[in-house]
Amino acid sequence: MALTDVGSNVIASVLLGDGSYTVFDNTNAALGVGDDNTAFATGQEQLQAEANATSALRKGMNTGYPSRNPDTDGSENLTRYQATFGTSEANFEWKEWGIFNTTTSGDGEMLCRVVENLGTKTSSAKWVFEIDITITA
Amino acid sequence: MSRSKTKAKIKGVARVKKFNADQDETKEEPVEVHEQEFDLTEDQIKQVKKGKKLEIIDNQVIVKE
Repeated sequence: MALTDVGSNVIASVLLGDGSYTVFDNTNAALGVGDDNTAFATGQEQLQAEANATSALRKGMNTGYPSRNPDTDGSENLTRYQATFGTSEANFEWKEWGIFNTTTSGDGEMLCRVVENLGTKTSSAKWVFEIDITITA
Repeated sequence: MSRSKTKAKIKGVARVKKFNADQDETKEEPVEVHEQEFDLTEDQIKQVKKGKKLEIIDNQVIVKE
């Protein structure tokens, strides 16, 4: 996974419970999408569309997310983040996405960033965006 | 005593469920589902292989360069 440097720090911090970072829970977590396909680098701290002031949006979690073992099939090491982008939101070409611990653009920590084209959203559609993260040995 | 190293892997799936504006996304099926798996990038794998370590300094977890 395209884990950022600070994302690695966050995971280490959460294991210790040292409170160094805001946790990526239902209150704080957000999925962000942007229209910039600049290559990923571990030192990035926000979406590149945020950094370059083009089109980007972070959206908070749907009720009940993030959820561990969301399909109740015993996948205790799988966490699902889910946010719904309504008809008036994020109407641009989705070229990058990331997981954040705040909905405020350019703020907080970016756990990971992935550059991939997920399509072009318009006002005639609403998209439910899900990210499943699995940690294995 | 020998020390063993455990290498955890993080992977995932990004999934976009696309609905028309007049659909109820909580009850209806999406018109399209876009799914993409993702994994460690080559750059990150190189960093892990280089043995990048974490340190705790003043209660802060720091990536040791």
